[in-house]
Amino acid sequence: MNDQPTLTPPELPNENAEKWEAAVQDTARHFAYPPTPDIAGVVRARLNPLPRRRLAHGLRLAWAALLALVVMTLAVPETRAFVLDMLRIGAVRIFLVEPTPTPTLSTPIEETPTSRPTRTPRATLPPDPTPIRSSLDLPGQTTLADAERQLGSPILWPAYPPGLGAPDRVYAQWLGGTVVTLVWLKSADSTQVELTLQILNNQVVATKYYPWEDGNDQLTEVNGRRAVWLTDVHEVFFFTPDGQVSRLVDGNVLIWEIGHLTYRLETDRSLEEATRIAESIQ
Amino acid sequence: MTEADLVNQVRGGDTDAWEILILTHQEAVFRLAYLMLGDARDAEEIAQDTFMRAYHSLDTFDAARPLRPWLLRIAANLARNRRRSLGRYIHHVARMARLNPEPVSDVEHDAARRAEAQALWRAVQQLEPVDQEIIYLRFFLELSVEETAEALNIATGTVKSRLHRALGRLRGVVASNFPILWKEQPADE
Repeated sequence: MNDQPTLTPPELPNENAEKWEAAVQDTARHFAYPPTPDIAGVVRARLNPLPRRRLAHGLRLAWAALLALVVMTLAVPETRAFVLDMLRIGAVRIFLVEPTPTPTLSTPIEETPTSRPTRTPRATLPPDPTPIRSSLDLPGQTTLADAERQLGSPILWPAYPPGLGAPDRVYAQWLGGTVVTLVWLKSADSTQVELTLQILNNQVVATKYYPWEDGNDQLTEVNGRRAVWLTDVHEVFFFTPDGQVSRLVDGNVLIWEIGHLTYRLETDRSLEEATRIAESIQ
Repeated sequence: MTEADLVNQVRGGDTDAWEILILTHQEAVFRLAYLMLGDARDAEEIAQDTFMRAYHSLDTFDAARPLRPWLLRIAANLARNRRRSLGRYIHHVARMARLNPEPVSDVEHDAARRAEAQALWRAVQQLEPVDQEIIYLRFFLELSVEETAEALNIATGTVKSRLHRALGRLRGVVASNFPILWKEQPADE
């Protein structure tokens, strides 16, 4: 290494400007950058999401699985659509597709005919891709303390709207990573959901297909960070070691990140209200 | 095959050629975004958006010129726009305030040099954005004066004068706030 003398004291006269410049350059050379991520792979997927013979180009295993699902999904007539672009917020990938007839709960997804290791200690969604109609149908109901243990992180919830309080129901599933779902009911004795907040750790790979049309603007911000707001009916897929599970989402969804966790807020409220709820999480 | 050949292939719809160009330049683009935003995830998004935007704007690019400064110009614009968001900026400043140098090496000497580089970065962050960008391009990414001029779309003489002033201001910041950078170090390994 060609070490220059260290940065010279700033009170040196101007004739030492060259020495100062050289020292700055030499010091900057030692800057430790984070590893460069796979930009090429993601851009390729955004430009041309169809599978290619040169997939081994540094793409990660999860990404390969994602593309495999794209192929599988496109093979199903009801969900066939051309992928126009891809957005990513933390653990959630959103493929913007050409608008198609509204997806239905009966959309079949073929399972991969492979043997499946069983994982009984953790709650999992059913191995069959049975769509789930309501957050209240989720398996794995548990306590906040247990959900925190499974997530490996404290669980925070919104302080807005006033009086919201702790969630009425808590679920935790293992979907390749931990997904904690907090549900607030419209009233204590109600079966109607007021809010659903999902917290995904960064091991989860969740994929959505969202109809895109000119003029749509899914990008927004939560606490100054990029977030996505989805309002049309769309499906979400979770990748699991056992295959994937689909679920139809009917309400508005705001997706954003806090640290290494991804948050999904499902609500009937407006974007403004949803953002206020999201930004009140503490 | 030259870079200009690849650019022309991309214009003809060859995404393989674009991938080669991305692989060639993604590190510089990501690093500039990281320097400007201080967050690897934000930098990754900016880098992706840079190559998407460049792909769709390639018809406006002069293939006779080097691609990297043009890409860095796009990345800097995107990062600057991201940083302009007040909330984002406050978040960034707060994050920087509590940022500690990451443990990056098990070799003591390298660790010391990297800690100095980290401190230098933090000193640069206290400058105006226009000063920051020219220092990142010229000294952190080690672009030539000509490439820096291309990236900033200014004349080479302007690069030199701006650098001179930016370095002077950096010297003042170091003097006030970064004593770690004054410390005498051995001149030789």
